[in-house]
Amino acid sequence: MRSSTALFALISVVVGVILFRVKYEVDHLAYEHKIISKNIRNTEETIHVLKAEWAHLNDPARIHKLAVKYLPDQNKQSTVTAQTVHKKELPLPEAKKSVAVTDVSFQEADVFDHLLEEDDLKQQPVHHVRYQKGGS
Amino acid sequence: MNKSVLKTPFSVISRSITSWHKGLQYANVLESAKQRVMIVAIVLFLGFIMIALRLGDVMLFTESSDDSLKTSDGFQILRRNIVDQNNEILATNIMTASAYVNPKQLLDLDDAAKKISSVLKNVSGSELRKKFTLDKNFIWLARHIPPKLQKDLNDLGLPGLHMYRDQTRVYPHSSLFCHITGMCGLDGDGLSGLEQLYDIDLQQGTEHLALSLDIRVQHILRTELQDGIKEFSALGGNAIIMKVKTGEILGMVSLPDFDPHKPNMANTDGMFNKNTLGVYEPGSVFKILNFAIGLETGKASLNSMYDGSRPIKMGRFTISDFRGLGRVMTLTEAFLKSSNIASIKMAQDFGLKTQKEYMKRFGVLDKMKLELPELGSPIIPRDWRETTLISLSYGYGLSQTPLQILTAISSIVNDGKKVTPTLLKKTNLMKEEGENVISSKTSRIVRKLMRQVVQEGTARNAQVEGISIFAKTGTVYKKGNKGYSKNQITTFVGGFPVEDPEIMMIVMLDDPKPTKESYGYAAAGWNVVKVAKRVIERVAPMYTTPNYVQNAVAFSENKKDLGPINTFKTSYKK
Repeated sequence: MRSSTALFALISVVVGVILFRVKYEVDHLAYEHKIISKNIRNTEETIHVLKAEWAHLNDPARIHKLAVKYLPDQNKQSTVTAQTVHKKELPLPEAKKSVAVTDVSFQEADVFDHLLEEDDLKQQPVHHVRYQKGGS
Repeated sequence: MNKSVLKTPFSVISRSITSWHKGLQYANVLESAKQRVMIVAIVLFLGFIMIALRLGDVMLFTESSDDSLKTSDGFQILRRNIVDQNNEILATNIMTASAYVNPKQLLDLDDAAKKISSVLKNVSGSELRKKFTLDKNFIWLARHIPPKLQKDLNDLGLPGLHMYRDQTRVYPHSSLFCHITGMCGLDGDGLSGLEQLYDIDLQQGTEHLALSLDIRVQHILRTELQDGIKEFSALGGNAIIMKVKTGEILGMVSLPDFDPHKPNMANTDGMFNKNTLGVYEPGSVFKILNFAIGLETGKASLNSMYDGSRPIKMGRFTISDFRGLGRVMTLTEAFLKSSNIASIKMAQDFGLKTQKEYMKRFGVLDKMKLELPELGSPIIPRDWRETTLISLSYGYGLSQTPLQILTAISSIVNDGKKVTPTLLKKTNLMKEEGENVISSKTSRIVRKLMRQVVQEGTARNAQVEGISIFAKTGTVYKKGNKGYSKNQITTFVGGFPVEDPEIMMIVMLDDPKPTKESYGYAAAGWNVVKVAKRVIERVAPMYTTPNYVQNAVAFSENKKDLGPINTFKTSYKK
């Protein structure tokens, strides 16, 4: 027998053995993959259901009920408008403050002045004063 | 006998070998033998090549039939979620099991029927027995059963009883969003609301449907409206809150409502979305439109005077003011007192053609567009006549959905820029410039008038410290079978802040009754305004910054009208 023939025979035997090992390893991995995928699937499903449950637990009506039950004192002040502080809310310098409190008409005018441009406020000629002419 | 049988093959072989030896003596015979061997070798070689090729093909190119090797065969939901603007789930699918029976696989029908009915309490054994005898391979036992029941059924160990992995639609907040999300049927197909309109997108799309709604606002709106309905013994109510600048609807509630898990088709009142499907005569809130037209066309100004001393006669009707001044009044006074007479006179000044043109521009004559299948068409005057001009000027003679009323008024207060309402979250933050329906100046004057309604007019009860609310109220008589009935619908349309409106809302109460606190009145100012105030109090801090200093004085001036200040009690009284 020639030596090359022997070599090829040996190689084919080795390759055959490796092939079979690989095949079984792949089979095993495929099996593991199947299990893991199934687990992932189940976990995803569980997460999905838990999210739905979390949304249900976060239902404002339910939280409201719990708040009334367990936080009776805090309810009296909660949800009042003073949750954020605007810069204009901060204490004013003394001088300005007295104006704000005493001079009502000044403040009242202030509320709208910037809403209306000057010509809006100007007295305009009265176009159509309607006086009673009986019935109309 | 035996020997001859055994001998025969040997004799054949020996004879052929002998002839072959003889043949060897001839070269041409040898040659032909060689050829034959070659042919056989080639045939065998090709055979092996084919086997090798097939082997390679099988090993390398044939895909595995095992599904698990395919990439990520993940968990599939059959319908996307519906979420609010903060990704809170409003509708989602969960896994359930549905039990079915193949009667042909059942061994003992009587026994199976008895066993199943002992677990499923709602069907009798005899009923099941009858079903099983029908010539069918598939009979639903129960859809969407809870896990406990599923286990109990499996424990029966009946051959023929199977479980189907099913999904069902759940709404974690039950009826809170029922009119918006709508509902799904047993097989998960959308039957109403967004579920119906976006049925295909929800089933085939990849992303969740994100709405503009805010669950907090929706909850506040619903609880306050519910409390209001209870307090004033109203038949129902509805409310919408909208972001003025983007048209995004933050909350939309119509009461009574229904549980989307257990829809009851007989509950027509509950299934009806008053906000988008119901049409009502807007009444006094429509005067905003009338005054806007007057101011925009220049036929009226803040200095205009109107004589309200005599009622207006129109055919057999006489139109007068409810608790009017009975004298000449300024435009501001006319708006504050919600004078019908002044509105009519103003409308007569700008005339029929202008009125129609502006009504068209405000979008009150066409059917509204919104992402809901339940949309009502407005009922508009068939032909435009003098009587139309008059009745429209104070909000009668045409019917609108509350959403449409709100949208028209929002466009006016939004510096005159048209507002397009939407239920979907706006992801594109590019500012879309809507067309102008009126000028910014008219808008500012209208806002000022509406602000004064809150400060000293019919919406005084809506004052909230730190928030510059502007509003208009309306009280209309419901249409009965013959003419108008005694029952009223009260409306509040308003928003804040007046300087640069962010939020607009409409609140309506159906047939509110007078209470002890309202001194026997059932007009808007005594009921729906209070509801609106409570809503604003709780919603405003989420979307605007209260400004205490500017409004402090204007507020304290009218404090005496507000009564005892524990306004938050009502929200948390339960």
